[in-house]
Formats: sequence, C-alpha cells, structure tokens
Amino acid sequence: MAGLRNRSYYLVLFLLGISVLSIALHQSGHLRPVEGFLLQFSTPVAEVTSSLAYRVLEAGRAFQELGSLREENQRLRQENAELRAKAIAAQEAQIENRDLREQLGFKEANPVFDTLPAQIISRDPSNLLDFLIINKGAADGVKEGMVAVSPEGLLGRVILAGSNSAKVLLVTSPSSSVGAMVQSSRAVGMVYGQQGGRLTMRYIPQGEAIAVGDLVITSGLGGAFPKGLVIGKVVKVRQRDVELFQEAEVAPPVNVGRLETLALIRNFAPARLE
Amino acid sequence: MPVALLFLIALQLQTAAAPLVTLMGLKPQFVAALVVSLGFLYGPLAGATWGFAGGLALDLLSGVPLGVSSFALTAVGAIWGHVAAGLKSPGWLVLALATFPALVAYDTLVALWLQGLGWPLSLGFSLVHVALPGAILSALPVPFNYYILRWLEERSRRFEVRSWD
Repeated sequence: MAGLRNRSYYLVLFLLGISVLSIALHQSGHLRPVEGFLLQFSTPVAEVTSSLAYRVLEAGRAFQELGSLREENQRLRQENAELRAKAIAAQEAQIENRDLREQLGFKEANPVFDTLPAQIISRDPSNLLDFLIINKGAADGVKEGMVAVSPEGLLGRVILAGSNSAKVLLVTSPSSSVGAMVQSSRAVGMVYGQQGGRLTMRYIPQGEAIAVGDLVITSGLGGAFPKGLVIGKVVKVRQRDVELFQEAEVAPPVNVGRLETLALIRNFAPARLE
Repeated sequence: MPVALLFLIALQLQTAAAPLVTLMGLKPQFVAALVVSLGFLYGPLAGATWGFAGGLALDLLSGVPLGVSSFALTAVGAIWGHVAAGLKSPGWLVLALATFPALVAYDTLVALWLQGLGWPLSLGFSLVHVALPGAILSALPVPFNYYILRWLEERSRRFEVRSWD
C-alpha cells in the first residue's frame, strides 16, 4: 500500500517535472515546431466541433429573436434609407477627395488591402488570455506577423502558423500592444489589451483633446500594423494633472466571441526592427 | 475508456462551445471541473494523470505556454484527490463545494506562472475578476459530472461481475 502511494507521488512529481520542462523549452523557443505540428493535428476536429457549436447557438438565437423580427425589420428599412443618402454623399466626397489628391500628387493613403478570408475554428479556452485558431496556415500563405481584421476593424496578428492552421493573438490579450491614435485629434498613444477583453490607451500626452465617443485607429507607428484600422471607441477618459500622460478606456468594435470568420491582410509586411 | 470519451467531450466543449456561452465575459472551465471531479472520485493518481492530459491539451489549444495549464491542473487534480481520499463517499454537494476552491487555485496557479514568465497580468485582477467568478460558473456542471462518473463506475463494475460469471 505504501509502495503504491510512493509510486503515485513519484508519478505526480514526474508529471509536474515534465510540465516545468515544457515551459522552459517553450520559453527558449525549442518547442515551436512541435507546437505547430500538434496544432495541425487538432485542426480537423476543432473545425467540425466549432461549426456544430455555431449551428446550435444560431438555432437558439434565431428562436429567441422571432418575436422582435418585425420591429427590427421596420427599423432596418428606415436605417437603410438614411444610409443610402449618406452613401451617395460619401461617394461624392470620395470623388472630390480623389480629384484633390490627384491635383496635389498624393498617393492613395489607404491602399485596398488584399485579404485572405479564414474561418475561426477554435478560441482560447482560458479566461486569462485571448487567442483564436483559424483554418488557414502556411500552406495558404499565412505568415507570422500577418494582421487579422474584421469588417469592423482590427482583431490581432498571427503569432504561430502551422501548415493548415494558425494562432491569432487578439488585440484584447494582455500581452498585446498596438500603436494608436485618436482619429479626430490625432493624439497618439499605445493601446494595450487587458484581461476581460478590455482595451486601454496609454501614453496620451497631457493637453491632447480626447473625449468619450472618439474613434481610436492604428497609428502605423512601430510598423507592426498598417495605419488607419479601427481599434475601438473611447468609453472613458482618465486625466489627472499630476500625471505625465492621460489614459483612456477603449471598447473594441466587435464582440470576438460572436465572430465566425476574419480576414488576414496579405499585402502588408510588418516591419522588423532589429 | 468511457472516462476518456467524457474527457474528450469536455475538451471539445471547452474549445468550441465555452467561448460562445460566456457569462460576464467568463468561460466555464469544463475540463478543469472534470479533472477535479476525477481526482475527487478516483484519487490523486487519476486527478494528476487526467490533469496533466487536460492541461496539455488546453495549452496546445490556447496561447498559454506549453506546460503552464498542465502543471496547474496536475497539481490541483493530485491535491484535491489527496484531500478527498480522507472523505467517506462524498456526495455531489461536497464535490461542488470542493470544486470551487480547486478552480480558484487552478486559475491562480496559471496566472502566477504567466506573471513569472513576464506576461503583463495583474494577479489581483485575475483573482477577483477571473478566478472567483469563473470558479462559481465552472462549479455549476459538477453535479452532472458527479452523476455521470458514478453511473460509469457502476456500469463498469457490473461489467466486471458479468465477466467473472
């Protein structure tokens, strides 16, 4: 009996030892190929179960929303009419903008991104970090550092590319930081991910105008992300005269938990600062 | 074998369904809750072994460095299995109550490792806003785990008796 107990303790210690060794190897980067291979191995199963989970959830949601559909339809028709009018005005402004740029000899500020659509097949199961796994990998041209976006704005960047799948680190992850600026005032700062899917913009110089509702976009500084991608909207400003910088809480434009697909920007290569 | 199947279901629920059914941004920890139940009902060795397997799978499917979740779940599975060894046939309520501190310990261990490895995590925030509410949410499926595992145990015993006949 005592022998069995001793053996159990040894096995527990052995398993804990392997875990510590794995952490050390991960930190030194020696496990990267193995992790890529194992990620590959889990992709097909994750793809099937994730699509099944979506279908079940969508069916439940559709059932819940049946009652409010008529009101929603009415509201959307009205919104559509308003947006059509705005789109015409925007089109006019775009033509005027293009003409002015041509006159000034400027290049297009926002080149059209060449994107690679990908399906989200798995999400970070932990509550501490924010990652996604997508069904496109190195075989589809995915490289580490590629920027992931949704129609609403910036999502994150690829940190590990297996042959048919890749891991995307979301901007809301605590280990993520993005060079940012407030669209209206052009005040620059850094947006950091926070636990619980929050974003904080730090290092905004005192005296810069920043208000609740302002749009925060990527500044392009640092070279990891292209300029002009929407990061979120300011929901709270923390300004104290005794501090060097202001801080703002930023709400991401998209609920990543509800996203099914994303796009990777193919024609933007992150700068390598060495 | 049935436990392995249950384990795979929990793992798939964790990676595919849990992120879609969040409560206040928190995901239920199906795998961690199952590992605690296994340790509680079958002893420290089962807790540690399933904890190691579950943690490794979670590490691979998340952004956590490989080994962090496996360390935390192995330790929690083994410790809670050891604690439960002193109890006489614990019911589902005892198991649910014991799961809560186990899951807090698991999240805290992961946060401690990540902080030690240089990840900018706030330990206080992790404990108050992630570990405590997350543990309440994750302790909810424990009665189901308990009855399913008990049923599996009964079934395998009956099977063994029949094989002897």
